[in-house]
Amino acid sequence: MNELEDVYVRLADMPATLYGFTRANCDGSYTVIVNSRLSPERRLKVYRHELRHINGLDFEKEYNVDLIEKIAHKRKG
Amino acid sequence: MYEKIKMLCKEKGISIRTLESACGLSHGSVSKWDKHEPSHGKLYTVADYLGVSVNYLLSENPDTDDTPVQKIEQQEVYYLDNDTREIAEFYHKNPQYRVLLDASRKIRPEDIDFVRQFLEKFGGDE
Repeated sequence: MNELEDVYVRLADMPATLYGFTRANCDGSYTVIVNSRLSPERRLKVYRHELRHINGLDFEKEYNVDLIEKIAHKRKG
Repeated sequence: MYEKIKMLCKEKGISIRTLESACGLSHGSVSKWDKHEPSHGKLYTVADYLGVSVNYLLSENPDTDDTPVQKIEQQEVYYLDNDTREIAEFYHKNPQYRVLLDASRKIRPEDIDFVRQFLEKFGGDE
């Protein structure tokens, strides 16, 4: 895993099909929002998925979101 | 495989180095792919960038059924709804948002709009 960035994690009630999302903040930190409706185990998986976006530098890539998601889902760790 | 990639780069008017940079690969890594097969993720990334299928890159027969250039609509997508994909793309690219999601492939546009509502209400920056 890359050097740890400042990652803030929040829970929010959101539609069931939206598991979570991450915003790249202006100061270089990240805010991860996880769906509070999910089970604790699923929330952890979502958090790990969002960390894959951060560690994979996906916010800097110019790929379309389809490719970014497919690659993120294939990544391990 | 390397020769095939080199040919495709030439057709697109780009160098191997440019391809490597665009795909997040270290310089010189593609040239090693004839001896050491890359991970599927890296292969997929390069194939998608060049507009071909992974099978085409891996095939040793130049006269395969796969044509060098695949239409975007033939490539497998993640988001199944076109409007959703456009919104997700907007969230990703727009400097005001810079958001990536973890969502069901079937998520509807009205559900993904939650992101906009949330950020407008709470700002998002810590």
